[in-house]
Amino acid sequence: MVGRAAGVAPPLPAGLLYVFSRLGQLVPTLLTVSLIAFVLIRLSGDPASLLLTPEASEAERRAFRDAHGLDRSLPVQYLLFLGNLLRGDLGTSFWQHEPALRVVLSRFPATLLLSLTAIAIVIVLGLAVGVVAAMFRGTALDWLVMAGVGLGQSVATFWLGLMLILIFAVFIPLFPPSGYGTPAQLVLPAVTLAAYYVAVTTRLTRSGMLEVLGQDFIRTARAKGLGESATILRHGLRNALVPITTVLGLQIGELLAGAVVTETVFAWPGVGTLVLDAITRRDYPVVQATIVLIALAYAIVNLAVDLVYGALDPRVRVR
Amino acid sequence: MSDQPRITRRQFVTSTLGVSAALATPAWGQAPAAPRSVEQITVLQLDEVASLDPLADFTNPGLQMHAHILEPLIDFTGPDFKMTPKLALRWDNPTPTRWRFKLRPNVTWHDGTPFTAEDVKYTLETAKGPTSVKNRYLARVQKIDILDPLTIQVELDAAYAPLLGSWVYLYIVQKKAYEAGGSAEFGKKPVGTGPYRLVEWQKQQQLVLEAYDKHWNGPHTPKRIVVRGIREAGTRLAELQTGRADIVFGVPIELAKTVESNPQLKLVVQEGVRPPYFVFNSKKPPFEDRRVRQAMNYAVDREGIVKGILQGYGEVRTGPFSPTQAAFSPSGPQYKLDLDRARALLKEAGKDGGFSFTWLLRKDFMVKDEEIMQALANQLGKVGIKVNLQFLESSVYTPRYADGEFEMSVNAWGKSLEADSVITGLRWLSENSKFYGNPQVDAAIGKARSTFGMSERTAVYQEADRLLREDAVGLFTHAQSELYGTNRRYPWQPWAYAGNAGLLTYYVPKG
Repeated sequence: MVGRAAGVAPPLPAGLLYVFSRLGQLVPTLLTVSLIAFVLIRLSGDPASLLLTPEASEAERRAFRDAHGLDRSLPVQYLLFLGNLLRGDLGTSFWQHEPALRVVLSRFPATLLLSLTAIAIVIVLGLAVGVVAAMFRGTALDWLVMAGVGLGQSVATFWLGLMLILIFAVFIPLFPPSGYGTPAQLVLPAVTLAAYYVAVTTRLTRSGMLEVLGQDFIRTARAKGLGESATILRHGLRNALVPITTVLGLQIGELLAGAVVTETVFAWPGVGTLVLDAITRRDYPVVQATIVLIALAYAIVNLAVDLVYGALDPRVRVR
Repeated sequence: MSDQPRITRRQFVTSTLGVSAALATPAWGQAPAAPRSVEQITVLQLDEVASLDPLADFTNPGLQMHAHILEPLIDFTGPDFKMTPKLALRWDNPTPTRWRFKLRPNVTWHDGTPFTAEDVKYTLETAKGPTSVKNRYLARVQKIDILDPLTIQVELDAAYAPLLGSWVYLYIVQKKAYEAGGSAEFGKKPVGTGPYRLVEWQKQQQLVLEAYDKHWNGPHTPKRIVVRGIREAGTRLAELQTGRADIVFGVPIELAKTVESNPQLKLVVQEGVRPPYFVFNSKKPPFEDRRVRQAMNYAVDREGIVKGILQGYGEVRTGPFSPTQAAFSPSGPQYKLDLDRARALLKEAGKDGGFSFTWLLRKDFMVKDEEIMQALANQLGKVGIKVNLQFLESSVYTPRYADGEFEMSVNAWGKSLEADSVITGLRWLSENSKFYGNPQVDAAIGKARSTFGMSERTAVYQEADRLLREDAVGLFTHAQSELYGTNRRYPWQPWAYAGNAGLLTYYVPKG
């Protein structure tokens, strides 16, 4: 993602400049995303046919297309869409009759809560279990962890969610099966969403730690009498963290976009459920607004990851 | 989300859920339901409500809510669609094109203000407007006059006797609130006269209704109704099993046993609400020959579909109306499996060598669509008819259906009161159809529109039904049942309104 040359820590303005230039790079990315979203959605069918009943007359169909600008040519529709986008107007939801941007933004807090909880689980559990597995390499514990990792990576989210509901809500009534609002309702969806990424992070941390722990500077640290925990955490983990951060950053973006299945299973009122509903209803404006906002969030996460690099490894600071 | 694994994944999961539930039940026992009075019930619909403005949302989840918060002039309720005066007490026809409604006195809106003819006039006029989703029901309206504060008169351009049956969806909105906030505001905070008022609505989470204590028919029970939309059937069922829901819509056949085996739950089975109709394109070969259409009706094994694939949760159909509907004609042909007759008819039509055709289908148009279509294709194969099934997304299917660009297709229609809406809606009138036309059917429907006596009109509809069945306008096979899961502490039974068996009240109906 960043292959920047080593340099001296920059004065603040240069750092800010870097941030701004990275933000500037978002523009073509978002333009491309908006174009793809626009074209793909329109290839999938006529919204007038879907939103109006099959009994609707041709006149009713025409009126609907006129009202939503669907009668114009695709390039014109796209330019209009872009112009409105610049003004923060992403159209009006066909289905809810409200500004699409407001509809999507109103669902963001629920998705953020779910994603951040899942990310917290991923970071804490993934790193801790990975480090422990590396320390006890080759033991039964390590074997058990790796078996769990294999399972976590291969189980379908959809199935895992339903199984967790069945076990921890129906048979052992510990948590509510679905819904939003109480901390108890957050547990099952967050675990479901985190499972795959915990597995990936554990595997990555374990192999990263094994690589680092075999290196000379760890032997030096131990030789100079540093405690085991300090050796592992301060010297081992910190060095293993750089590649993990890269992958985690990508995963967090994925997680934001990938909450669709989890949210649907748990009826979680987030962007994932919204976008699935919007796709089945051919609610173009909402789908477009969601894609643009998710792309923006993804890009911002990537930027944040690049900045975290600098903090972790002084060698990759920007000039 | 991709189309390919859709069916298999769902089947896999539902069957896994059912099996593991059955296995695990004896070991763990039933989760104790939280003690909760029937003061409040929770209903799980399949989908979220879009808008509470009845002039902007005409989808089922929306209609279910409109009918609790708002009221039409006249309704048709219960299993036999009994005429039930709501905001209008009486009506008459001074001339065939003139309808005079005497409104119910002493009705108040949820904000306490009195209901008057002004509100009715305003609603009808707004509903006729270009942005209204219900303007087709007012296309015939020429003039709306207020004769006195509780009398309203509507003038049509032509006689239309089934008017009341087609106006059940015209929920009356409060003029003051609708004028002030427009569709968007009213859609969020509707002011109605109905048995329930909206107290809270958190989108995609829950919608809370409370019984309106000053309703003209007295307060209804239960006091509070919480409505949620959950797409995933397994999740809906888990909510029911844990005692957190009282009525759950859309129980898949695979999970019916799980509900039935649980002593706290009850499976409510409602017969044929939205049967599929397989439509022939009678204007294209080979289906322009009605003997071919009849032959196909004799070639399919209806019992096999209902018993084998739907596991008994369905009923056999031989025409557009079920024997429980008024428009059903007892003298029409009763198609049943008769391969010899099918072959004979095909021979008469010169098709004894068989033929092949493409069947245009809409994804998810009925329960178990792929299994049933495969079974039908196999059965038709026995009389030499080769079928090529083509499943399309509804946005691609719909325009092709409407334009008659198919050899054979499918549609589904609600079990509703007036045969007029079924026959018009399915495009079986020459004037609105690109794939069927029968002057005798046209004449019958035209005659029904000016026949004001209900029983006389029913006789005309029965004649139309007989004609349509004899003509084999479609291949009629079955109607799948609707399955609902309920908690025994709230003894709910489907009680239809709007003359539509698919629309049900959540509260306990009053007479």
